[in-house]
Amino acid sequence: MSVTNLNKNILRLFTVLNSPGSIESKVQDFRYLDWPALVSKINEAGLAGYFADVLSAPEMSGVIHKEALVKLTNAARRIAAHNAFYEDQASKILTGLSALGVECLLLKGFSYMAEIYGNNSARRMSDIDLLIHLADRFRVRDYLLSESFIPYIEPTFRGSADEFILVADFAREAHYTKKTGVLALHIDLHWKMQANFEGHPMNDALALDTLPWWYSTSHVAIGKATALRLSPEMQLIHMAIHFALHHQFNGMRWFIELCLFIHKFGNVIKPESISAIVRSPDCRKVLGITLRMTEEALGYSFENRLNWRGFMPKGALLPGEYSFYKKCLMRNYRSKIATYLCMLLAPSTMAGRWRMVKYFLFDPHSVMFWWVSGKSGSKWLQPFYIFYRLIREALRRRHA
Amino acid sequence: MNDIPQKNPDIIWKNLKGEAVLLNPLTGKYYGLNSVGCAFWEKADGCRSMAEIETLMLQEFNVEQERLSKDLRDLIKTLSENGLVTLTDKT
Repeated sequence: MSVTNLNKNILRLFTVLNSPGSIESKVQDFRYLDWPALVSKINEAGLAGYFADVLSAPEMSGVIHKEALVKLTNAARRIAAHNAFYEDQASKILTGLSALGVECLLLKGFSYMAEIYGNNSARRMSDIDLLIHLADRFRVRDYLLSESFIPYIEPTFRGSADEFILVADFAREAHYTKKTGVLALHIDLHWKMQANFEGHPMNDALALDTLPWWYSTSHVAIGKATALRLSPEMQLIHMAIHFALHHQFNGMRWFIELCLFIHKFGNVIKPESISAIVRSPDCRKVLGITLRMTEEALGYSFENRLNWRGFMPKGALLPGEYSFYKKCLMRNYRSKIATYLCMLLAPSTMAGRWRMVKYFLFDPHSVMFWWVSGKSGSKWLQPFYIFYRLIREALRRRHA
Repeated sequence: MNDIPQKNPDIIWKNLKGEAVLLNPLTGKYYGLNSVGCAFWEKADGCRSMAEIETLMLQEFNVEQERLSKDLRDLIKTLSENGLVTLTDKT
């Protein structure tokens, strides 16, 4: 069974499980799924906790194969313990930062996990994202270093450690890691919310840093500590932007979490607040697409409350563009070509898309390795270099 | 029975609907405890003796004392062998 079909089946299962009314008759077809493969895929997506919970419900009895459910339950237990470790460590860090008088806002992860899934064990935590004020940046860094954290270097990054730190800094974020035995804890610090690296055209178009991230926040308990979290409206905006721009509509974990968030908070979120916050047409387009995708996955809409049509600017989508994003969701991994295509298509106007093309073809900032190493190439050589990279990537994928 | 079970302070654990999952971050090993094991783990607060825990568990579970005593002895043996618990003498 192809990976695309596995992702399709996960989504189909998710839709049925969250559809209104009795699900008993709707799940009968699922008896014939390739459950061992599906469980592996669910586990890979870090969603074993959520699916083990819903698939062990009495109405699902006999649908999922017994051995597959045992495997899923065991994976869910490991996630629960792993997340308990993250929760314990997050609690210590939040307490430490609070004692220093540092205000920080918990993004994603534990901030809404208990409400979205019913507990903090449903999906695997990979890092703890904190939004801090620019002025606190070095204080937080010093605190983390004093707590035995070290700067984290992405293993797949091909440059040096210093270059990676420079790249992260250009994205206005920093990554730290700490090993406890064989477990690693990752902390991502953000001090400016932006769509991409400094100089990227989408930063100006979306103007994320001007959004009211610190407005109408609430508190959430993390172990023995409390943390600030976004308002439900800002949380929705952040989740949609994170899924669309950082993951280029790829990643079942992020998408299902977004759907469940809307499922739980759809009646609470004030659409007029979102409309007032999200003014940029490009940002409205991103929100419109993600809302449309979630509406299709959930199988129902919130009518006038979170109607994707209300956000989508007229003529913002090119023919076939929406289908392309849906295909991105079904892919097993984020291909580089699809990633760049998503970035080129993201603006809501042709002028915006042309700005993106010009950025990639002529702006030296778009070639990360040139500017981190200080070896800026000629502006006129850049288009050839980009085409060379594209062809190389296409050939690499063909041979893979 | 006067011994006091002390949990390994490094162990991370979570109660999952009456069962427990334990993680030793130093080794990366996971352990599962059934409802009886979970009840014991929750009651082992470093102050209660084995006898006190057993009394509390007898009130909670519909089981003969002899059977529970044996189960707890087996459980303590397994937990100790895996470095999850140590026994200290109350006296």
